[in-house]
Amino acid sequence: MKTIVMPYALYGYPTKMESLSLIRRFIHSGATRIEIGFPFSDPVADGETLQKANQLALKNHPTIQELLVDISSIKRDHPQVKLTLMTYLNPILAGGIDKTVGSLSTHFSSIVIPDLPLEAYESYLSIFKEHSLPVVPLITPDTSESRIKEYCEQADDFIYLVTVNGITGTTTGTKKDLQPVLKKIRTHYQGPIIAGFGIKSKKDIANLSGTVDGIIIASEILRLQANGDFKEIEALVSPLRK
Amino acid sequence: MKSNGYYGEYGGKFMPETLAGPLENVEKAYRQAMKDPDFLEDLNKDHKFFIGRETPLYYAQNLSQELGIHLYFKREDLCHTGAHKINNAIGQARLAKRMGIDHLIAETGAGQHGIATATAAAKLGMKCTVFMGFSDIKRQAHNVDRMRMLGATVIAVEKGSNVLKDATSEALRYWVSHPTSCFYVIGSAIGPAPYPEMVRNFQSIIGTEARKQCLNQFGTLPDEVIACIGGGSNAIGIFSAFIEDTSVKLTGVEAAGKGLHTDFHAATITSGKVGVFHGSKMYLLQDENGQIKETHSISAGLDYPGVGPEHCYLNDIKRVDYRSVTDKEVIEAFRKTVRSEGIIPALESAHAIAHVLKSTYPKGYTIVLNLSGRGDKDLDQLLREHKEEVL
Ligand SMILES: Cc1ncc(COP(=O)(O)O)c(C=O)c1O
Repeated sequence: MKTIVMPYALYGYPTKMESLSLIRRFIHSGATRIEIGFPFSDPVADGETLQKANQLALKNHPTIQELLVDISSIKRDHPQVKLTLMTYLNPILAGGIDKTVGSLSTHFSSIVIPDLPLEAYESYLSIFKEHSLPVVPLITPDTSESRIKEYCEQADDFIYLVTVNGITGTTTGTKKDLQPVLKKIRTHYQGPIIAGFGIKSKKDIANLSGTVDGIIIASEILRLQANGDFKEIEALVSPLRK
Repeated sequence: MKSNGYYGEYGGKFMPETLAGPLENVEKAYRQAMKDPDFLEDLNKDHKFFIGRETPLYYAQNLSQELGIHLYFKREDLCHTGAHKINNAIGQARLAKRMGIDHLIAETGAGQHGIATATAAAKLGMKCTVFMGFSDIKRQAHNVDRMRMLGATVIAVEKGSNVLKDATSEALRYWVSHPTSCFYVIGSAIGPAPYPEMVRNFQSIIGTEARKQCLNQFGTLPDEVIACIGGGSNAIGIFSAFIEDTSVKLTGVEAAGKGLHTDFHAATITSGKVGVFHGSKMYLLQDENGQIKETHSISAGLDYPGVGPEHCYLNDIKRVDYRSVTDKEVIEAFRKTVRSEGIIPALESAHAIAHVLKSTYPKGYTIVLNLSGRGDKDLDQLLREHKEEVL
């Protein structure tokens, strides 16, 4: 089984231009799926690195409309690359959820919203479905079997497997054996399972490759981006091509 | 009115998946506890012997005379630890203990909820970690010392605007990282279900007592019940007993800070827009892109951009009238109350008083005002920043 690496870029961090050029770098390094974060003032599922990056990005006053304009040229040049948006619910609601989801679906293949769990599906999922923008379920090692089943029934683009009970970039969260949860997901879902949270090194990637279809790397990429270590980013993004 | 954690369209459970299990456990334990005579008996004893309930319904004679009305204070300032927060903290701490969890975490703005939680933890032999914004730590230094003395670890949150919302976000992150080993004692009627309902019920003792006291002391229900609104727990606590009494007007008073026309206020219902934050759908102070705004209030306990979902609903159905007063009006109300009644109110509670002072009422109108806490915690700040106005 081939394991892809899905890198993360935060729109507006450190500037809008630089986040866009990072996305282009990902593509040139061979990324086929990219997660694009839209900043939020109070990201409760995120660790230190992403919180700080969100704060800095917000100083550049990003809007979803601008993101869509900026991303359209990348999408035009690389229509085959799948883009997933990650943000919190409130920025999606602010401009009118129907209108916002409708316009997002033109460039994004799916969306990750950490504060939209199963309990909230009833209120909002139909809007995303109407516009064919799949909401990616986040499943953790402790998610109950009945919830997993419900998530799997609603999942389309992929399932996001949260590898730790914790926040992004964390090393303090409890590392869990992923085999039991993977098995449960597999009985209900045949599409891609992509794992994320706390994955930093090539060793982490090697440990997971073969067991999941893909790996999301966010905080570590932001850290490397801040240091200007673009060669390392390239190496992380395309490790399995060599 | 409430179904599935919703009040009309407000409320819900908008939390990271990691907390789905823990929230379910809290809800289950809470429902069982409220049916368990032993749990209720323990809580009852805490009320009487630890908190010092019932708190008096005090006739503020001098202010009443001056205003030509009958003004009563429900004296939550006389609760052990100095504010209504202890009613809720003890309830949740006992619940955690029942669930076999011995580490409490809490967020605090004014420090009152932090102290209440640290106190409950000390009493019940539990570990306690309190998250507090760096600005609030400076405003409420005494309370930080008290929490430490009680054995709590106080974590200074230097993020965002360094106030209550940031402390709340950080406490939530801590809970996401330790979902089964700690219990999050939320300090107001906010957050994901079942918290708004649970906090309301632990605070409903205020209203239950006040209503009975009205009938005993002056033989009828009041014309109006007034309370300040941060997250809304002291207000929903006293309102809860009067909601069905349609003859009683209910008024919630928010922090207008430096004025509603400025960016420096925390008047969420008065000038917010519906959104989702910290686990529930509610009115929110936010910009046009859905980013949460920084807030301002002279009182740390009201400095929060959201408000409990039940209040949002009560606003929409027009059962409660939500108003706001400025920092300046609050300082004046504070001074007046101290001088006229010999009571030092918390700056939060002084918001409710300020609203009374600026309103006009028919002669003989009867008001019950929830004096949510005492102002000792605010003296340092007042003497530092407003010496001329209060001395
Ligand atoms: C004395 C006092 N009153 C009121 C409040 C506001 O909170 P709530 O609206 O939850 O009662 C606080 C919060 O810290 C407080 O300490």
